[in-house]
Amino acid sequence: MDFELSPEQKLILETVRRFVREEIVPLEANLDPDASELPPRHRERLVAMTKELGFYGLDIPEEYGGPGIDLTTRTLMAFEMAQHRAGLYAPCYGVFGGAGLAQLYEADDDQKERYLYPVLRGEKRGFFALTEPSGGSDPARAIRTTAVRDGDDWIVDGEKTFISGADKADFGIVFARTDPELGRKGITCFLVDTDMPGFRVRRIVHTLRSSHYAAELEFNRVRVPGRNVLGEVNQGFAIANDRLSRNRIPYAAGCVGVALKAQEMAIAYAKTRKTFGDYLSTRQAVQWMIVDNEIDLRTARALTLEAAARADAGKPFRTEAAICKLVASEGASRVVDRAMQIHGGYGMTKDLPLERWYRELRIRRVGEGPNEIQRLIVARDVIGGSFH
Amino acid sequence: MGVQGGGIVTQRPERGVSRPARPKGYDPVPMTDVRLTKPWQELGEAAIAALPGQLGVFEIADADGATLELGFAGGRSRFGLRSAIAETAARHETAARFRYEVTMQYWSRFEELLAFHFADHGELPPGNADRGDRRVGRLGAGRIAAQGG
Repeated sequence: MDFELSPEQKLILETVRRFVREEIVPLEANLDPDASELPPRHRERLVAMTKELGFYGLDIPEEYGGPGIDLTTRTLMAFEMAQHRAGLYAPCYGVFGGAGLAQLYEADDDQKERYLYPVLRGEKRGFFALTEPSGGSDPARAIRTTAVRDGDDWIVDGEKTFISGADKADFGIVFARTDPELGRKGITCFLVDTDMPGFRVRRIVHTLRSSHYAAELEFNRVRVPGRNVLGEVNQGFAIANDRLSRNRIPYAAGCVGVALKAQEMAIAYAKTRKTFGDYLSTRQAVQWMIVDNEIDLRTARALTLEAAARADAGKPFRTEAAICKLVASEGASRVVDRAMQIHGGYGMTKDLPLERWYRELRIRRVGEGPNEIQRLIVARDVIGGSFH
Repeated sequence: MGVQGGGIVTQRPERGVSRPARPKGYDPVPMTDVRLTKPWQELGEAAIAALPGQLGVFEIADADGATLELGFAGGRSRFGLRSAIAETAARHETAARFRYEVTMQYWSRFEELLAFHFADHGELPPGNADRGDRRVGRLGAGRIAAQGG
C-alpha cells in the first residue's frame, strides 16, 4: 500500500507538528505531570488558534460543521497530536475539539435539538454507558440492566461501571435489555438525563490514570420517556457496535504517536549519555532495543494506516481495525518500556513523560475492546463464523 | 449534613439500603465510603517537618473544623506533601489543622474529595471555589457544580 503523502497532507502534518512542539509541549513544563486539562486562558487561546487553522471539531461530520478530514489524514494527525506528555488520552488537551458522542448522529430531529446540538455547542456533556459489572466485552450477553415499558415511558433498572465522565455529565447514552429472549436483538439504547429521579453516581473508580477516573452508576427505577429511545427499540446493539471498529483506528494512532516520541527520546538520550567512556548508542544492547522499537513502530504505523485507508476506500476494515488496535497498543507498550530502560533511573521519574505513558498504555490493551477480543474478531474473520 | 438531593452519598448506608431492584443472579458491587478519614493534626512547624515528601491529597481546616481548602501534592511539588501542605496552609489566616493521605492517584482522589465536599455542603471550600468553568463531579443524585457551584 502506498502511503506517499499528498502536498495537502504534508502541510497539515507540518502545521500540527509545529503546533504540538511550539504551543503544547512548552505549556506542559508548568503543568502537573499527570494533568489532563489546560488552564482556561491557555485553552481559550489555543482553541481560537485551531479554529483559525480550520481544524476545530476534527471528528465532527462535515454536514454538522466539521472540517471533513478523511480518516487517513485524521490518523496521520493523531500520530502527531499524541506526541506530548498528556497526548495518549488528552491529545493536545482537547483544543482541537471533540465530536461528542458519535451515536447522537443517529438521533431523530427532536433528540438532535435536545442533545446533539447542545453538545456540539459545548453546552451539554454526555457519557456512554455500555459496560456493566457483569462484563463489557460481550455486551449482548452481559447487559443485565433492564428497561420495561410503562405506558409511553420506560422504567430502567440496573448498574453500569467504568463509565467515563458520568459524574460531570448532563445526560448519558445507556444500553438496557428490553427483551430477555432476544439476546443481542433485545437491547435498546436510551438517552437518560442525569437529573432524572433514580439516577445515581455510586462511586468513583480510580485507575492507573491519575488525572482521570471512571464512575459506577446506579439506575433505580429511572423513568425515561419514550421519545428518549435512541434508534429503534431492540436495535441498540447495532448502535453500540456500529462505530466500534472505526474508533479503534484513531485509538491505535494515539498509541503510535506516544511510541514515536518515546523512540525519539530514547535515541536522543542514547546519543548523549556516556557509560564506561562511551555513548549508550554505541552499545549493542541499547542498539538492539532501539531497533526493536523501530520494528514495533513501523509495524503499528503501517497497519494503522492500512486500516484507515481501507475505511476511506469504503472497503471492509473490521479485521484491519482489530489488528491495528492490538498491534499498536502492545507494540507501543514495548517501545515505552524499552525507552524507560534506556533512560535508566530518569525513565522512572515524573520528570519525564515515559512513566505516564507506561501506565496509560497498559489501559490501552483493555480499552476499546480487550486485545483478546480483537484476536477473536480476527479469528472469526480469518477462520470463519464458526470454530467448530 | 444528611442525605440530600434524592440520595447523595454522605454516610455509609445500611446494608441493602438505597439499592435498586436487581435482576436475578446479579452480584452487587459493595458500596464504598471513601471520604478522607485520616486523623486531624494541629498545624505547626514540627508537624509539617514530620510530613512525608510523598505525593498525596490533604485537607486544611480552621479551629472549628470548617474546611478551608482541599489540595494535592503532585509531581511538581518540591517536597511532596510537606511543602504542599505548608504552602497551602500559609494562604489561610485561620488555618489550624490538617490531615492527609498518601496516594499516587492524587488527581482523581482530589477530584473525588471535592465531589464529596460538594455533596455534603452544597458548595466548595473557599480555597477551591475558583475553578473557572470546570465542573465538580456529582456523587449521588445531586446537581452538577460549575464555577464552584
